[in-house]
Amino acid sequence: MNESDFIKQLTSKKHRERAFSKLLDLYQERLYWHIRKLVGTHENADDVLQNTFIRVYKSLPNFKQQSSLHTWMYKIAYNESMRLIEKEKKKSFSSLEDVSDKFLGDLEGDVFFDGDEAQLRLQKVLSQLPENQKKVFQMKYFDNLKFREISEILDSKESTIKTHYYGAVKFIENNITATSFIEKIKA
Amino acid sequence: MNSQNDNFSNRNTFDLNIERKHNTSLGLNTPENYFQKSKQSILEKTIHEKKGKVVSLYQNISLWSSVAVIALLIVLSVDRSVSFENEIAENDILISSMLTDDLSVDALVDDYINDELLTDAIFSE
Repeated sequence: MNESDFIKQLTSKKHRERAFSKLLDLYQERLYWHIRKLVGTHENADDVLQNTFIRVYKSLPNFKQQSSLHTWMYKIAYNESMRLIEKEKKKSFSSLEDVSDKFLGDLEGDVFFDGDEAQLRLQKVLSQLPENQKKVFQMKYFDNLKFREISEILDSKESTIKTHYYGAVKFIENNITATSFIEKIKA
Repeated sequence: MNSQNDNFSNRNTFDLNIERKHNTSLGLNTPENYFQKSKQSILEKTIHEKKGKVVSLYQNISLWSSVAVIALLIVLSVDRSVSFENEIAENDILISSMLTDDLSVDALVDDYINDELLTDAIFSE
């Protein structure tokens, strides 16, 4: 089945239930991890994931297929994550340093984070990256998204996205001693 | 399926790999059976969401009770405003009498008694 047929099923009364269930099977996990890195804790990621699929469900009849379903869903997940982050920012803090400190504080306090010293070190290095570089690096390395897809999600030029990515890789190289990880991100 | 969605066919491997990567590199985990529970929760909020607005009997009773109470309050307030006006008139006389000096009141009472006596005398003849 091609993507257009799948979208037709998602918007038809007869096939909608089965198709939406399949959509969840396909995208739930990968969108969860995409969201989790942006918002930090499992609790926040769970809220955003639910909101993302509710929005997808409501917006499907208006989906014009100007981008792929894949990119469209990541974009909705990204926007929902940013909505939560903005709300949190207004509630408790304002400066960039505070954002980074709060992110790490929340992460370490999350019962579903059991990182060892090396993993926490990587999280700290990632949180020191400029926001754009961090997002691009995470989407490319952890979410396996292509540069073109990331540029669509972030509404930015592909060349800019590549610059952010290589900038992030260089920064990580200079701040992480775990050579195995460096080899992975350079591969 | 086009190349943009080549992940569709190997979902299980893809999801397993992505989970492993997040766990080993970043130390991130999820609660047990989280994705199964989350899927059910999302389906309940989307596909299985009840259609239309269901108004319960309790809500109907509450609505009509509220209407009845409001109507009763309006009736009582109109009635009370009429009787209240009478009360105000009576109160005005009492208050006025308190503010009038004793000599004037005595004169008024004398005149009234004299009139009464005169009226009785005329009718008794």
